[in-house]
Amino acid sequence: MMNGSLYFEPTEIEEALELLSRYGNDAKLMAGGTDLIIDVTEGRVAEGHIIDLMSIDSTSKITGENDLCIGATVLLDSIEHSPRIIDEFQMLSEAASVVGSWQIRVLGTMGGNMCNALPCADTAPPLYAADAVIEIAGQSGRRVVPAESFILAPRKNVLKPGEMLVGFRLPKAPRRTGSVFVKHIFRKALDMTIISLAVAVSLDARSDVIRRARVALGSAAPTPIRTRHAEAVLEGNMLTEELAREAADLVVGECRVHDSPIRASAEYRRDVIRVLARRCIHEAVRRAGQRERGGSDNEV
Amino acid sequence: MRYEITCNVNDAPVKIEVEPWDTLLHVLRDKLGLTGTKYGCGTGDCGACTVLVDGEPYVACLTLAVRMKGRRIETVEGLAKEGVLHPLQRAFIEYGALQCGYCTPGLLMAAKALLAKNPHPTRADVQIAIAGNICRCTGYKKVIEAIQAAPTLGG
Repeated sequence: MMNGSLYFEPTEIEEALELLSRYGNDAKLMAGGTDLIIDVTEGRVAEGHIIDLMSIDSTSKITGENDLCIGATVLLDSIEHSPRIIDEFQMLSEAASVVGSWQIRVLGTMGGNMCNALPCADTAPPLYAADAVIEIAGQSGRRVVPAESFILAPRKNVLKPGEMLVGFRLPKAPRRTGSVFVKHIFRKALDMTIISLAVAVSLDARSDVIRRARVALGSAAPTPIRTRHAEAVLEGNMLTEELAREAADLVVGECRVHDSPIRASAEYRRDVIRVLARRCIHEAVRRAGQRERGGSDNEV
Repeated sequence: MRYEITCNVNDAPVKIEVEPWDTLLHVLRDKLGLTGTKYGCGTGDCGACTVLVDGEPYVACLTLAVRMKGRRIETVEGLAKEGVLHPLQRAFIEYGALQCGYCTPGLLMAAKALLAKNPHPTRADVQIAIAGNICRCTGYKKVIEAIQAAPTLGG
């Protein structure tokens, strides 16, 4: 590394991209910094010029008339407490509420959580379960990728050199949608995730038939994953205890857990997944069922 | 490259030169001599370095000093006013909420942030607020009681 890092505080996305193209690998994009600063202080990542993204106004807001748009640098604490997110995507508020600790949530952002691309990224399962898309900006323009395609491998994402994640778009869910996120950890905060799981269920506007189901997990494979066989078995049916168990077994089958010295044994984790999946499917359906019936079936 | 920043620390204006990767913890302890804020883990896991930045609890070990331009920072040294302990400090003493004391400055600051938002927290509210502050001595019981009692001690 060159002597003397520089610090930049762009206020526009274009300005950040220009700095990124000027300094390339000598520069680090920094949102909250809660992971990057540790990587630097512990010597895993060399110091470099800092492009601080937290002064960019356009990525710091929760907006959207119909679809929900969350800027890359919105704080996890703001996501946790946003009344709109609590109402429309409760699983995302719940996921944000258990990232690290309060001290981490007032620094950290969802953009950072996804860019770090860990298998345990807390906000990944709810984003996958919401069919969210991620907006990426680069010198040559913007592109959009499904959230579930963003993380490629542990610590590897789809961003190309010169690109940055600028925001998330969550399509408006049908009215009778319920969602839930749980994270299984030994301590209540600041602990390694053993398993995390998000379930979103949309019920038929007039009956209790499940029209759309999404089940996504963290720490259950090298990347966060969706379990499509479990989703498929739920869709088109009314929930029974038997169906919840069948779906939970499918969820277990679609996970790729191994014995982990930091996350617990594979056998234990499969048991936890089965239990959590069953509970969360019931809870998501219960939450969806509390929403008023009516409207048109083709909402879903 | 060094950057001159001005900020407010415990109600006093401060002007200081920092390098981009200097942490707020390093600046507070080693440049400003405010050693009440403790270095625990350096990775944001223990909360011993918790300070308030514009009222929010920040782990100073993961906060870049260069970002503090124009911000209002409160450390444990700013709690007592004119020799009179803050109600939280009095409550910690009264309830015996500390043993070795290393985590106490961080706990006090997290508690101050909580009480500013929620003057009558439930036990669960306190537990969530201080989940990022590790104490290996007390078992937290007396810490939680002290935080809940502090508002009744007046200030």
